[in-house]
Amino acid sequence: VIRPGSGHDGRVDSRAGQSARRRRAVFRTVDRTILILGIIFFAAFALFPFAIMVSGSFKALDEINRGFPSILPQAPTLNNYKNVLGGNDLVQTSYPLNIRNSLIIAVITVILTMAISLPAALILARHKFWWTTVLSGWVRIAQVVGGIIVIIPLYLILRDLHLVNTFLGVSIAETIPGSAFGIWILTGFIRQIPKDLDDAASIDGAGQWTILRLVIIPLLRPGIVSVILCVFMLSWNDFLNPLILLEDPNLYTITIGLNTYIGQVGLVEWGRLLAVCVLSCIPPILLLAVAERHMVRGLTSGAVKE
Amino acid sequence: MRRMRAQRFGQPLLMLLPITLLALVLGLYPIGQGIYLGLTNYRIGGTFGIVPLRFLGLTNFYNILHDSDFTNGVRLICTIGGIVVGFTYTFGYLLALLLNRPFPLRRLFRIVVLMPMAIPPLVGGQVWRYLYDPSIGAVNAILIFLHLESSGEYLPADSTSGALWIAMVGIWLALPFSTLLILAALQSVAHELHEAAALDGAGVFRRFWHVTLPGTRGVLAVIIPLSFAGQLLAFDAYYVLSGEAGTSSFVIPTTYAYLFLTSGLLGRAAAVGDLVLLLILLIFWLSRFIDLRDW
Repeated sequence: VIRPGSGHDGRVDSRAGQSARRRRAVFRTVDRTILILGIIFFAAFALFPFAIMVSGSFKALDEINRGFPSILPQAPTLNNYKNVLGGNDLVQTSYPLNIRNSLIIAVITVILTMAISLPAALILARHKFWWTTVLSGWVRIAQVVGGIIVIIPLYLILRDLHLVNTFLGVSIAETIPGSAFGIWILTGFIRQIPKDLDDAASIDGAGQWTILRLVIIPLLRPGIVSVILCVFMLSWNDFLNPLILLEDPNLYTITIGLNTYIGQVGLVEWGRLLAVCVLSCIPPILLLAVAERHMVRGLTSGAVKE
Repeated sequence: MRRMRAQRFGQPLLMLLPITLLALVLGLYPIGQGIYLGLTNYRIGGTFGIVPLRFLGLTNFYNILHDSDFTNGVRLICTIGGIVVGFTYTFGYLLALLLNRPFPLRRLFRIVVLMPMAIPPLVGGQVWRYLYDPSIGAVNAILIFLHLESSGEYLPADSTSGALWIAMVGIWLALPFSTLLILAALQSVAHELHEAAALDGAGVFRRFWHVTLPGTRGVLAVIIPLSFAGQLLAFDAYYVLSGEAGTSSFVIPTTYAYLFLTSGLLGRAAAVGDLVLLLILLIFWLSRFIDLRDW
């Protein structure tokens, strides 16, 4: 490797070499300063609301009402958490129950999504006829068009299927954006797997299901992991679908539970509210911390290469 | 022969069956029915009694378009969306460039900056509502500390700078995902191109301008209209931020539709959804003319 500043024949002390070296040193200092400032800036921007949320959840109501003499709680208390996790006198839904409901719905959503996305992604990646074109188009549309646009008809359909007020109904509603996302990512992944592998298996008499099970799925593990995690988060964080589709307080998810706290007009118990917020953030952030590498890699290899 | 044919076409079709059902029954049909419901007086009463369906034509749209709450809401969300998309992609680009290079504790840093993406947007909205609270919020405390006397009002409700404060929440929530997509695009730019440019004596900035930026333009062209559409449909965080229904401090189309939804005026709510859909289609249509790939 020829580096600027180090002469070819070992004479390093030429004047040109020195000034180039100095320039490089200045550049490196500036570069490092920008890097550090950037890290501090972005970390502070991301963390600031979290810091306020966590500290507020440990403050008693009167300390919160005094505003912001300090970010750290002056008299830390666990009462907010005790109130939230123990019986709840303020709202008719209990928080541990909400967590359980959210978990069940998320698991059903993940299973449904994978069952639909995996076979569909294989075909969409490997075959091309008019129907695959239509479906690919829908996969794109479904990632954008959702929420308030479709929630009313969706409610009516699920009501006719007697799925309103059930976990399955919410999961089915969440599977629509979930599977669109899953197919998008997985199709990108499968396109990277050489088609020769399929063909070889096909010559040996394997059908599409066998190819999916024995060839594709083992090679697709990073993609599958990242889709599972993203869909889990999508379901856990979902608000509109459970809000419209669930009526029984015993079925409420964490977001709906949180909303009932918010809904207490004139009674903003900030401490408890923030404790609920912290508790709702723990599972998805744990998932992110465990699987962040998979998620980044999943999006990198799946999403961008069309 | 017949069996082979069945294998070649039958199996793929069978494997596409679930997604086909989902797309038709729960995807396209609801969109179509939503458009139709927007033309009717469909409503659900307090006791879930359903008022007989009557076709109204464009009456709902007429009423909505003449309601200043809606038109101001559209203007507001377009402003917010513009700010959010502009900021998330410039700052997202910087953050992605940062994440694309090695430094100590990079993994921890990556988790930290991705955290807003993982939590429920509802929680994000809630926390920012606390931050913006006029009497006990941290942002207000900071403004006073900086001797920028605040008006003592709820910041997102401010008629001039409100959109900026609301957009801040949108930026905070959307930045991680944009960053990930840009990072993915950065990593897909072929390494050889960079090396070739470096050998030709191109410095960091010229390499960025002539290699990195063109290499990522295609991805940006696809995801910028997607992000803007996402803002038009964003509900959770902005709903919380706007406060309790009825006393809301600002209105955007999604919260406007939700208000009709909760009062049982489903036809009217569906019509708002139709108008938002129209707006999204308009954006995609417009985005074809500013195709970033053709620079």
